[in-house]
Amino acid sequence: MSTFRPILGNAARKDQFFPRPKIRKAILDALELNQNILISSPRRVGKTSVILDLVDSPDVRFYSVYLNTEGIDSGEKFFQQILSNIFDIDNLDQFGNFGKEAVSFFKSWGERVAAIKIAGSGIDLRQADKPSYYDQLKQFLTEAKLGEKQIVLLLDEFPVTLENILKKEGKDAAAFFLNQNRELRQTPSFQHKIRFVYTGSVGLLNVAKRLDATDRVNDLMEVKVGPLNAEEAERFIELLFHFRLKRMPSDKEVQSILKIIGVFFPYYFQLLIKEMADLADAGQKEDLVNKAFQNLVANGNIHLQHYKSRLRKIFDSKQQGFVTRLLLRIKTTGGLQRQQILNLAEGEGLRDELDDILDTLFHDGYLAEVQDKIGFYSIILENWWK
Amino acid sequence: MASNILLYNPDQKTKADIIQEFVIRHQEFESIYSTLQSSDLNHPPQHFLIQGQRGMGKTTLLLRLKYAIEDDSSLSSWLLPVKFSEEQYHISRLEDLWESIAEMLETQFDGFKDLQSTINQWENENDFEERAAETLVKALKNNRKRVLVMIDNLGDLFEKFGDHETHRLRQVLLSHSQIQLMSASAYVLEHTFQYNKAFYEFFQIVQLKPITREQSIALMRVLGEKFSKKNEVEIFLKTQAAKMEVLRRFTGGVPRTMALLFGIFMDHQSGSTFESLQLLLDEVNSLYKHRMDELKPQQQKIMDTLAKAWEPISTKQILEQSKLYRADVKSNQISAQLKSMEDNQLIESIDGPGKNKTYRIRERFFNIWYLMRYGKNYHKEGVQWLVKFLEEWCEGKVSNKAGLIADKILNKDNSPKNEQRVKTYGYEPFLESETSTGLGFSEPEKTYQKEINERLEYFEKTNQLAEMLALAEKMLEVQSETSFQEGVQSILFILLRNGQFHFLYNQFKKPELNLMKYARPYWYVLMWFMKTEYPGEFEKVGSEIKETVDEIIMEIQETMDSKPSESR
Repeated sequence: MSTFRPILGNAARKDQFFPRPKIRKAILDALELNQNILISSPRRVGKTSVILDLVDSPDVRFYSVYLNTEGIDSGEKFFQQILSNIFDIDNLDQFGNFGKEAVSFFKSWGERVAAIKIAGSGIDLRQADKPSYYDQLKQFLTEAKLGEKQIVLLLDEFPVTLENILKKEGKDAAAFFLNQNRELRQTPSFQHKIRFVYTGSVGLLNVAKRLDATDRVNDLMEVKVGPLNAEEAERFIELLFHFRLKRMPSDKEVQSILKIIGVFFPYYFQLLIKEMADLADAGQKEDLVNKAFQNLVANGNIHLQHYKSRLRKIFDSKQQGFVTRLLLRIKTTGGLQRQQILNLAEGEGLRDELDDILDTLFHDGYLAEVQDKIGFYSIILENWWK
Repeated sequence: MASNILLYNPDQKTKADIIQEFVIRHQEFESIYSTLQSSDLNHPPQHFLIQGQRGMGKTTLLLRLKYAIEDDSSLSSWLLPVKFSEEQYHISRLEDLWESIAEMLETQFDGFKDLQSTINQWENENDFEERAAETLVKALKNNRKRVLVMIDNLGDLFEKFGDHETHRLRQVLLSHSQIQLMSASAYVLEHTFQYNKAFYEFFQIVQLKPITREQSIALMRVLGEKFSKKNEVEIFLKTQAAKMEVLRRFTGGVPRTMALLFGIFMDHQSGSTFESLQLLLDEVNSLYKHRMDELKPQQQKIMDTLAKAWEPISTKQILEQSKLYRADVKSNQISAQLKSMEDNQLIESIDGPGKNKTYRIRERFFNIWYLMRYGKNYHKEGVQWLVKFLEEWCEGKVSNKAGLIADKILNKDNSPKNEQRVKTYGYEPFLESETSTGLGFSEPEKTYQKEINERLEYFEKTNQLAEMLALAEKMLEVQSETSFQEGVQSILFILLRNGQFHFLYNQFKKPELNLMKYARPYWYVLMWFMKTEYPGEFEKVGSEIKETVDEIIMEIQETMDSKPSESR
């Protein structure tokens, strides 16, 4: 792991990735049990990196096909992309676990799908003559002989796609799209050939709720990508120090970083230690940890203020009063359990609205629920909050 | 002298000039460049966003990086930098971006022949954008290259794209390692900090901060060399460093403004700080005037009110002070204008406790320009006094007067009294020294001021605090009548050091003392010490005085810590 070289913001791959063996195992175990999965977690926890690890270090049983779908706004494009990624030769070569017969089968299908795309671009061809990619995918799955192996579709940012379709084509189209997905998952003859792993920071269940379509996603098994544990966090700090500061951290530094970060989302370790390295480059020697953290809070002033003033836009005055008190209470206690928050909401006559209020606070990046405790999503926001 | 056209358009400078003049953003350059050097084609790239207000050096940094890559044979063998011009009027949709990148690749590098026409064959298709991106990525893959897309105003692009296309852009960047963004923005983009936006915390952000005193000196030296004024610059730095330091603070440490000042300093060596400021205002006049002229009449009125208030004010105060209520304008209409002006980066809001939101002009030097051009006499006097205040403060700082005087006094006179004075003040602005820029005090005034300070210190030492306050109160009154204000700083300093915050607060509230005019930074120093009583007030400090305010707070804290116990 001495070659570890972190990356900020973008998905981390290969030796940029800090391994999360427990989460990987949870995903693989669920797949082994023929489950389809929904990976949910707040943003910046590393969902994309975790699923890309299944592409870069493939498990022999599963052919992993990654597709980020956030720019897709129609069912047709969605299924077209799935097909073209399944037949992506580079990805197939990297997997290297299919027999010759399977590979040539994939290749001929790849050409077939590419031909549809080219034919579909002719101006004389009527749309109705163009085969649907959804049907093609079903056809492919019907014909495919994959032996013991299964295709695992890793569909990143799926709820955004659903929102896009909802916005562009309306509620019925979005519900229909969920239906198509469910049908693929539930067709018995496909079940030993393909598995679906959806990820999303925006809650899929919330969008489905708005569409009155929770029954179309209730077969998914939820796997949560949580923060690092203390042991992982310490190792992560060491690796980041090695890369950024070219030295090992002292025990005191490790302890004060752990204390500052509180909930161990990898992103914040990265941000803090990058800032420490910048300070060190500028000649700063003493108290790097605290100074770096102060800088992060100071640099964030504009957007932190934005978070505060935004509350006025998203809540009515009664809710706003409650949320303001709630956030301060969470800051002073370091986190509350759901039932404690329910108790507070009851006291202010907001019991029925609480779920929506919390969903909004999760969705907009104020709060996150980690290990049954609801706390600030960002330590920087928490520290600044007043 | 430095051509203003080139100052505003670094893109037009030659490669040699960019490299030679690159003296102030070394750390940022090294940090980005080392990341590029340690990357390769097999891993996803680090995307960057350089943030800094206009004139901070974003374009120059981008160009410097571009040239460094071009000159680095191992990097340039696979990393192809393409730099967009500052304004991208021709790009309004994502496909335009792909087409433009393709055009630059085809015209600037080998291996991309016919890329544009390959892309253009799909232009009538519904999925033209996807096909364009796919073709571009494929061409890069086949050539085993990565394109480094350098975009100056990323915010403009995001605004044009809207939510769906920004998600689509992120999709492409996350799915393919062949495209890397090296972008810049003059303001903090909502897209980077709003949780539900595509590019939330996606970039490594490089913040271009105001340049420091040392960096401004380095900049003067390199400009001196470029314009064959090396000796003049050295003399200037030796004799008039305080002038430069005051104007650096006043103008927010913007390198482009410092380069403008270089011309002024060289052409008007003997001019006072205030005269240099006026010449600088002439230089920026047409640019700022154009900005004002572009506003709608109601927005102009709001800008006028905010500029004249100088301090942040609320919507209600804006309505009252602008007298817009006479035209039957309601506060919700003002709020709508403020929102639009805030979105356009003209103004900024400061959150106070509860619902107290206040506003001020974002670019502080623009505010000063407005006061000096369109303010009444007392507005201009306010600016003038602030210049004097900073001169006095920086005089101690830049010429290391504190050290000089400390040596002088301690060597000549080791009496505990003098030692204590040096300890407590750090420096004594009213003593004569060779480096004085001549604040114009007469001998009797200096002696008079010394006496006041000594008497205040005597009361302080002997713990006669009530007497000290009585004397300070009297002295502040006398000084407001005699228009001899320079001594105010020392009095305020002693009072703060003794924790007499409420007393000082009351003095600031006396209109006849005009302390806001003579000692504006001290108001914020006071608000820092009283932040529990007046939450949100310190946060209103403008960037033109922030650095000075921080220094004063630090010095007061240091003297509080080092004060001998008998004087507590």
